[in-house]
Amino acid sequence: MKLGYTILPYSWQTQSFYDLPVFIQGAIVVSLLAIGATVLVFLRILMIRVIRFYYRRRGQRLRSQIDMLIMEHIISSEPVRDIATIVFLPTAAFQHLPLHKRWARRILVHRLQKYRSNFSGSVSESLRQLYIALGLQKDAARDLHALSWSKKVGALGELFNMEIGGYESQALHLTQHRNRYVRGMARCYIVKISEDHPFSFLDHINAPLVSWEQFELFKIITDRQGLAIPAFAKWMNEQYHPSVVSFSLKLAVHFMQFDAIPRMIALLDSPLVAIRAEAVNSLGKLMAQEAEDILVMRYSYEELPVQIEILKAIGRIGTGRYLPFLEYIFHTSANDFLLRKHSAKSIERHRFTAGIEIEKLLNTSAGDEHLHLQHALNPLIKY
Amino acid sequence: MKKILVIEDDTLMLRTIELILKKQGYIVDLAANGKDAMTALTGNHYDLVITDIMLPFANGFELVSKIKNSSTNTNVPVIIISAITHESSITDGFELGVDDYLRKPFVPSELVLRVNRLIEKTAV
Repeated sequence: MKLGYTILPYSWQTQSFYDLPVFIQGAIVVSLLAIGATVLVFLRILMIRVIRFYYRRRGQRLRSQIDMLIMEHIISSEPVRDIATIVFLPTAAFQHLPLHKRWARRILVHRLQKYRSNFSGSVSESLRQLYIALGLQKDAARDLHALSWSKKVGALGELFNMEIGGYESQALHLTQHRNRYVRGMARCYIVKISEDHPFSFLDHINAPLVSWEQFELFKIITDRQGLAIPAFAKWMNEQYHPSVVSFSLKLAVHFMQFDAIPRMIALLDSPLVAIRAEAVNSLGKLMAQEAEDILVMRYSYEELPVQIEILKAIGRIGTGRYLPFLEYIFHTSANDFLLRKHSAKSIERHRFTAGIEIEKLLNTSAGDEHLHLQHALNPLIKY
Repeated sequence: MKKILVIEDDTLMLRTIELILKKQGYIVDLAANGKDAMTALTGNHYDLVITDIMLPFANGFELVSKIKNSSTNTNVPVIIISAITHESSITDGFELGVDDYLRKPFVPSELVLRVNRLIEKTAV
């Protein structure tokens, strides 16, 4: 077999491929394979770009049509300010779009979501009703059962953004999904949409509810209007995941559920340092005077994170009964900056009830003690 | 006719605000970033500026500060429209001389009312 007269060097052109040394043969094969693969990759990139260009152009046309319709029929004719009285829906105008094609429905849904993220009131409600009237939720409902987790997340996100109810049972089931993004989005959906059991998912949490997820849920719960707030003390129990207990503590504090104080005190016996620290923090924020004695009693045998929280809590409760305790910690914790800092800050929190004592302490302290106290008393320094 | 400059990097919002304001009879100029906005502000006088905070090249606060220190547009009222709802951002804006702050998402009629009010106030 004669191979590659045009690509092989001149000196090789009289030899057949099989006459060449093995390593040269190998090198030629590898080179040809590499060239072939590069050409294939190049062609694939080119094809992807062409397809994307086509999709983009097709999408752009539809997007501008949708924008025009939304501006003309919804934004320009923002008819009433009372959301409850929206009666006119420009469904017919939108029926002219090629909504029998899925890609067109996807573009319309994305557009509706984008407008809803920028506009509120009757415009937002009109967009939601239009979405329902055009039956656009059907795709999302189907995707809830898709095999791909990203499709599930997309569907849940869409139903969440468009505030579409009726899929709570599927979403509740998805809060147990093996993929954390599906679980997270399903929880958000339940909390935002469910009328009857928006917190039921908390009973079934087995994997940690990480800080970011807690933050998102907290925002949805606190933003949602007319939500029936349960007694979060129910979840302050060791039978629930520690992250659920922690989340419940934050919510109980936010909604000022003073009835939860006994449960918070019970959590002080938790074997988990983080839970004890958070329980103390919550007691402080709720200014639970009944917990003050217990906190001070526990101080000496607690671990550092809990000790810090106890100092902060006593400052927040601020009865003044334990000001000497704070002063004692302040004087005796020269080797622990955090304890000194927080005791100083808590002493400062008593400034309205014990101004004279604080002044005396400031005058009698010296060196680092004086500096720390001054630092804590400076209202411009926040920590 | 009163002239308004709208500065917003989101094309959809830019076009929508343009439509809302044009419907009210205003002349609307558009800028999609801080650089374009500065160019527009250098050669023109506006009766009102509406700006977002997060913009390419120069953020909304920088623009406000330049507007308030400029020779031609010092007294031009400025409305910030932003999804940033952090209190410190809002107070920072007012400290720089922003006249109004509208949080996204907003109701289009609310924007119109605020624009009309500020323009009437300046005209007086």
